[in-house]
Amino acid sequence: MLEMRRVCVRYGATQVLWDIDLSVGEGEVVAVMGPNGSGKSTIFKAVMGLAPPFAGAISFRGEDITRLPVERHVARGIALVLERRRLFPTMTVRENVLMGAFHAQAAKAADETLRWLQGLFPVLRERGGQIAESLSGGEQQMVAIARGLMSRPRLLILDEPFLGLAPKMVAQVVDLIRAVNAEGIAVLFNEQNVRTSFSIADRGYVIESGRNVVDGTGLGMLEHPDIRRVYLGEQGAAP
Amino acid sequence: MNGMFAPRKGRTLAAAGLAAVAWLSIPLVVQQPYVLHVLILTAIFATFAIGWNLVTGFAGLKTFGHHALFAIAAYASALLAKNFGWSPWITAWLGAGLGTLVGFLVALPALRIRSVAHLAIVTLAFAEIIRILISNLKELTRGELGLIGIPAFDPLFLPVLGRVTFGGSGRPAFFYLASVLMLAALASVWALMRSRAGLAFVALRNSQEAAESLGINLARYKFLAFAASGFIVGLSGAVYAHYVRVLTPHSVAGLEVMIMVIAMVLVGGIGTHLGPVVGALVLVGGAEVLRDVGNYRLLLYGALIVLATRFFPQGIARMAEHVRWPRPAVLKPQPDPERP
Repeated sequence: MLEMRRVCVRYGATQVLWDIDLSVGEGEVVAVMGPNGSGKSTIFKAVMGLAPPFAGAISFRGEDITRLPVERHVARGIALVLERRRLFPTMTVRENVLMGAFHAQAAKAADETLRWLQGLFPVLRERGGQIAESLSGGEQQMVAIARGLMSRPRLLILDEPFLGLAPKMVAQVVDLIRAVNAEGIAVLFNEQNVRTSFSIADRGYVIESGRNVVDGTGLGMLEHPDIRRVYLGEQGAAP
Repeated sequence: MNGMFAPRKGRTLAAAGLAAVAWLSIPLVVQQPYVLHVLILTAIFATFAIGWNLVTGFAGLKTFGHHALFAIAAYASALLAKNFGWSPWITAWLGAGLGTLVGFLVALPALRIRSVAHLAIVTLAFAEIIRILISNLKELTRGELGLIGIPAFDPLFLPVLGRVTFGGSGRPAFFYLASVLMLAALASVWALMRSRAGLAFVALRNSQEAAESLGINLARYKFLAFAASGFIVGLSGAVYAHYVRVLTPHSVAGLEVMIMVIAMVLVGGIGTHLGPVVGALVLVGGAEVLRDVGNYRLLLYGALIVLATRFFPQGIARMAEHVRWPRPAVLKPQPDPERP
């Protein structure tokens, strides 16, 4: 469904991604792992059109989307939930979520989509009228995910969905991602913790310094010498 | 997008209507030219403040160069009317159109610059350039000597009222002209903020990153905010020119003008609909009361800005919503006689 081929991105003069290859199949859950500053978030921004690549190609459902503006990505069925939630602090929970349906297409179905999401996210029913900044971190993450789903995406991208959450909330967000995926929506997310990642992901990619290191399908990846080097700094495993 | 923001309560609308009627009936009670003069200036600067509040208060794009738009529209309308003999009723719209275009121009740096401080400096510098230009284009503007002999609005022939004049002694008429301008600006901004564009503005103010990630076209809405704001501010500038009929670079393009409008919006309530009007009443009225203070006026504006942001950051308009108005004694809970 999503194909990235040799994608290179730079911010100004600084190149941050080198020849990234990545794919997500229909209904798949894919994790991107790697240390801080390795370029995981930039991969997502490139997919969304927020950081257009200067080389390489990105296609979605067979269509080239490399240089389309963000709103076209939304219209084609990709949604991105930014790192640290980034809710609209002065709007209510309900308004925040409805902003996800800003596009004409999504706006038409907004009422129906909202009903669907209220089933999935109790917080929307219980705290719809509350100002977003008064919610806890975990609740804000739920609202941010709901806002992303308002555009009825086929691929939901979550940037650091577990960042700064208490373990109990992590478990809740994990359950939520499973529930979203059960509706046939593909999920692409990043997380530093490999175990947490593989508790939901079908496949994973490890990125280091803006380059692909390894990819694989499970905790077996942990045994790969390059992973041990990236995560554990084991000199013995260095090439 | 239906029902995203619950419709205003009928009571609020009724209160707004009442306030408008009260404002419009002032000349029936008060006829002193001096008081009307102060109210006319209040309405004109309230309109300016409403325009600036749209881009800075509602859309959150901190721009400090709007006095340039005010000045450009004022000079353009004045010069077209004076040199070509065109009616101010037409040149005022042309001036506002020019304000809109320049608003577009000011929006260009805002598309890229997300740092508040940098955008503030760029817009401020732009306005200084305009002031110096006006001051130096002496053949056209007479520079610091001031542009004089600006025509007044032509008399109108209205159905019931007959001939209505706007110059010299025609102050009640000008009061109504300025009031219509202010109320129309208020109503336009109110309508705009209830549309999809208004939602986009609030989203922009809250988080440009989040708005962008949801596919809200930032450039489109920034242009819209600056252009709409430029139109309102430009129109207020043109009306000002044909009211005072003398313009100097300092009186319209001076930094003092912008600081006064910033103070109005902050004191009245930034990002509220009525804030700019309340602030204009306080500051224009206050400035007249404190006439003797003269050169210290800027100092007072500064002190007001500091006090407002420190003690009532939401402004008077917002504060009024939270005030517990004293209730009539009969409604007060009576002390229970059984208990000590």
